[in-house]
Parts: sequence; C-alpha cells; structure tokens
Amino acid sequence: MRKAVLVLLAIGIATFVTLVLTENASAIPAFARKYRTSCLTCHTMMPKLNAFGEAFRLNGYQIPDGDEPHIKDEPLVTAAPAWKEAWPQANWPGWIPGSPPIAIRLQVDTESTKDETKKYSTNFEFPHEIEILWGGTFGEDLGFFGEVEWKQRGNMEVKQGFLKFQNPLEWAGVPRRWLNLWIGQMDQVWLTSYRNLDRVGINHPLWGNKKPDDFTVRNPTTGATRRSGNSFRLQDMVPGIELNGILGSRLFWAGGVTTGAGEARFDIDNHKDAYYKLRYKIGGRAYDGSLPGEKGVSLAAPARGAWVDNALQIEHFGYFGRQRITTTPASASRSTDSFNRFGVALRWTWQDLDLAGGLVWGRHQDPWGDLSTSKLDYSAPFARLDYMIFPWWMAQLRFEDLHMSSPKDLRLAGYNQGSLDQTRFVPALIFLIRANLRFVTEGEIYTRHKDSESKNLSIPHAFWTRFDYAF
Amino acid sequence: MKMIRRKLGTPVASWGVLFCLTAIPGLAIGAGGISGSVHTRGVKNPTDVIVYVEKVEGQFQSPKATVPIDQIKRTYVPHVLAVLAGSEVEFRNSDNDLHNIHARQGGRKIFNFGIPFQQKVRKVLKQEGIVTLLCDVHPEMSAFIVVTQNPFFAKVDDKGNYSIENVPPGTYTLKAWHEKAKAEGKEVKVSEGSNARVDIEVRP
Repeated sequence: MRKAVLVLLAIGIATFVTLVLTENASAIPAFARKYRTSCLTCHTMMPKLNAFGEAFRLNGYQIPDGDEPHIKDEPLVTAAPAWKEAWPQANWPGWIPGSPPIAIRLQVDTESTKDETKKYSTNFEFPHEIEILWGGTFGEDLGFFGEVEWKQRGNMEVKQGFLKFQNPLEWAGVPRRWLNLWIGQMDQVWLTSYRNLDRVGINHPLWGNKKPDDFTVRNPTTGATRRSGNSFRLQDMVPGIELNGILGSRLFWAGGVTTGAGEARFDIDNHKDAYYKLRYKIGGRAYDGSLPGEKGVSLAAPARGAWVDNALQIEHFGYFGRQRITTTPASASRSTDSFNRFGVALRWTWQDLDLAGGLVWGRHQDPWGDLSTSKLDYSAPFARLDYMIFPWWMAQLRFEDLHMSSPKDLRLAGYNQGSLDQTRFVPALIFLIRANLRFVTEGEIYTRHKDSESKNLSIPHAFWTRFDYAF
Repeated sequence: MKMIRRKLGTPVASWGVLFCLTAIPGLAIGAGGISGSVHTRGVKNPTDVIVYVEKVEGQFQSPKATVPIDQIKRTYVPHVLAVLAGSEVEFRNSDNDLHNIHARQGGRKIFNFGIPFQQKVRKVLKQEGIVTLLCDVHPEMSAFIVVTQNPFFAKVDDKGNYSIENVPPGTYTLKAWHEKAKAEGKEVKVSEGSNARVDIEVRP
C-alpha cells in the first residue's frame, strides 16, 4: 500500500514538473522562456555566446538599455520599483520570476578511445551528463544563475550558484556599468577567446584542464613514483567574490578573490587567491551592448546572422594563488605552494570566421613539497578557428599545447619517466539540429603525448560524438 | 489594465485644457500651443509620460473639481497623472479590499492613511514635485502624481503624441517625466496663435 502511494506520488511529481516546464513554451530554456525569444538571440550555437549574449551576461542577465519592456513572462512583483523612494524604511523593490526559471540540459555521448591493449573501444554514455540550470533576475540589477550537475559516473553536485549585484553604488553617483559585484561559485571566465563557457566542442581546453597533481614521475628501475600536490586548475568553478565593470563601453575590468581550493567546496587554508582580468574590444558590438555609430543599444542582429560581429578583442588575466599540498608519497610536513597563472589572447571575428590564439603560462614555487626543490613552469599556447558554414553547421579546429617542466633533481635521482607534455589538434563539426539541440563530432589527434610514451602506451587519439540538448 | 484606463478616462490632458479655459479667463485668446511626439526606449510603459512647461510667470488658480485616482484590482488607476499645485485629489478604493495611500514627496512621507473598500478620501497637493503613491498592504502597487507649477501639461496618448494648448506666448523650458526614464529639458518658443512642435526622446 505504502509502495503504491509512493509510486503515485512519483507519477504526480513527474506530471507536475512536465506540465510546469512545458506549459508556457516547449523546448526552450529559462531565459528564452522569460523573453519569448530564440536561443539564437544570445547563442551562436549553444552554449557559445554571441556578442549580444555576452552583453546580456555582463549586464547581470538583463537586456542592456532597458530590460523590462522585453520581459514577456510577467514576474511576480514583491515590491513595486517606487518603494526605492521609501528605503531604508521599506524593503528594496524586487520580483520573482513568473514561471520557474529552470532549464534542463542533457548530453548523450559516445566515446572511442584506445585502451591498454592499444585497441579502440567504444563506450556509450547515455546520458553522459544531466544539468539542471536556473537563471534570471530578482528585480532590476540583481541577477542569479546556478547549475546542479549529475554525471553518469559521478555524484550529483552544485557546479555553480551565484548572484550578480549590478550597479550597487549607482546611488552614490557611480555611473551605470562601471562597478558590479558578483558573489558565489561561478565560472571566472578567464579568456573569452577560448573559454569553457563557450565550449561547443566536447573536450575541455588543455590550458584549463590539467593540474599539477596530474603530474607523476616514475623511476623505471625501482618502479617508485612521485606525484606533485597542487590541485589547482583554471577550468574549475570556485567560490569567490568579483568586482567588475565596463568603462567607456569597450574596456572590461575585473578583480576578485576565490577560495582557491580547486574543486573543493571548502578552503583548506586561510589564504584567499586573487585575480584580475582585462579585456578591450575594437569594433563590433561593445560590452555594454551598443553598436558603433548607434545611439543606445540596438537589439537588431546583422542580416547575415546573429553570430556576425566584426571585431578584435585583446585580453589578459593574472591569478595569484597559494595552496597547502599533499604529495604522493606524503611529505614529512605539508608544504605550501605559491603559484601564478597569466593569460593573454587575441580574438578576431569577421563575418563567418572566429579566430583566436593566445598563451597561458605560470609558475609553481613548491609543488613537490619535500620530494623535490624544483619549481614547476607551466606553459600552454593555443589557437582556435570557428567557421560558420551555415547557420546550423559550424566547423572548428583547435590547436593546443601543454608543457610542465620536469623536476630536475628527481630526474637525476632516476625518476626520468612521466610527463604531462602534449600537443594536440581537435577538429570538430557541430550541427544545430534545432536551436536547442546540437550534434557534435570531435576528434583528438595528438602529435605529442609524452605521458603515453612513459607508460608504454600508444598515443591516445580519440573520437567522440555528442547529442546536446536543453529545454 | 487598458480596459480599466479606458473606463476611467484620461483626465490629465483635458484637465490642463480645462484649467486654461476656466481658471485663467481670457488666456486662450492670443495663446499658442506646443505639441509633438515622445519617443521612449527601454521602459515598460512608454505612454506613462507627462510633458510639462517647467515655469510660467504668474499665479494659477487651483481647479474647483477634484482629480480622481482609483484603486482597482490592486492597481492604481491611472498609474501616472499630473495636477496643478493646490489641486484636490480624490483617492478612491473600488476594490473589496483594504488599501492605504502612502504618499511620499522629496524623500519624505506626506501622508499615509487607510482607505476601506468602496470609500473615497480627498487631499490637496500643495507642493510642486513628484508624489509617489504606495500601498503598504499591497507592496506591488504604485502610482505617481506630477504636481506642476502651472496648468500647461499633458499626458502622452496611446500613439506617443502630446498636445498642450493655450500656452501664453513666451520662451519656456519643456520637460518630460517618466518614472524610470529621463529627458533633457528643451527650450521652446511659443508664439501667439501658432503651434510649436517639440519631439522628445525619453530613455533610462
């Protein structure tokens, strides 16, 4: 009897969720539902943002130059905007979204990789990942975004969840867009030229993906290994506080602090990492959403397609971290590794072409603890070419290289195998079957993979496919 | 909302004309007019704009008739109106619900009283400026009254046009007000028997 009640309850919940999510509009995520607009207003090919989508993101998930008239899903007003007049004797105005601001994303993958026997095996991951995403605004100048992710071979976890306080000091005379405060666990978006957020391909950028503690050296005579201890990588979304803004419509600046604990939710020391980001855009749609020669913000997309944005962007970031590390085998005492990362990139977009290139580099002062006195130098040049063949078909070619310097003293002590150095090309074809459904085919072709050489494996070329859809 | 507005009428523009014709006898003869269109962008209610002449020499007598503003289905109707300083405003509650009128001007409360359902309360608005109307019982409600120094004002119509008539000849500053947007004041020269056209852009 109890079981039957539970089954009925589960069916009821499933029906309710289905109805709620499909009543107002089918097959479109939260922002599209809110504005009753296509995914292609903001995305070239989801999740890659176009210039308008980037202006929307930077503006705290509001359409620049006046968000309210574009909102089609009427929010529930918690206090009318006029209550500003009565503050601090009254609550600040706000609203909650009219419909639940939720979207669901699924990725269905096949993966063909070489195993230890040097033969290819194909694996179905149906699905590879399910994401529940939410995003919107709680009234003027307060945006929110979040993501819970479940992976086929992992736990359910909160990937991101943050608030964007836009223009918090406007009351003090600070011009709009000059200063915003973002707080929470978020994608710090190191390089817009080549960012995880825009990843239309399947594999993560190498420069953000590999950690020093992926680096193991081996003594072939004794079989003993030594592994470095820092788990930092740029790809991870970490809890932090960021101040940012747009000066003169084309210069984006940001500075922030993070817990700096890699993927961990809790900091493992008292230290907070710090970073800065700078971006400048010449031509095209400015970061505030405006177009050259036009007064205010125009929502009109170029006739050729919403992805067209003839512009040149220059960007740079710096990251300064410190992490208590645990090496393998563990050092007698836990060491602290101070490290940095810098990045510089250029991105040129012209008609159907999007070409980017840059370099991420950095240094770890003490990643090996008591195991070695060597520093670790990190260097990762990259280039990416996207070409829109049709509005529904994109070709992409990525070049990535990674070099992490070897610990010289360990090499001299016989640990002369093991390296993370690699060079690869990643060609991909992406097909937009619907605005919210895409199919990706992607290859990983390595021209250098020193880790596989040290393990006596063949170079792990791989081939992937993915159906990726959101609603 | 549109239906409710239609039902109550749009009293603001007609009040301006009425003041000119009744409160200032003889002014209509030899006066001019100002009209034009108001282009708004980035705001939700583009016709909730009051266009008014900032300062006109002379004293203007308050109208005898009251200006109504109602609360219907938890909405102030109209959302925006303009009155001459010294006008009496009649606050109505057409709901079967308790409301209150919490009025603020220049950052301070000027009055706050409860208004039981189907009741009316009258108040004189003496001071020029923007009066914000709130309801503490229903925080989602708000309205605005633009209290002007002179009777030369108009509310923008559904097509985005305005017309102010019977303005005495002279050079003035024409202003536009919207709760979320601004417009730069524009100088306008009004000549006897003619109409000056001034188009205005209002933006956040």
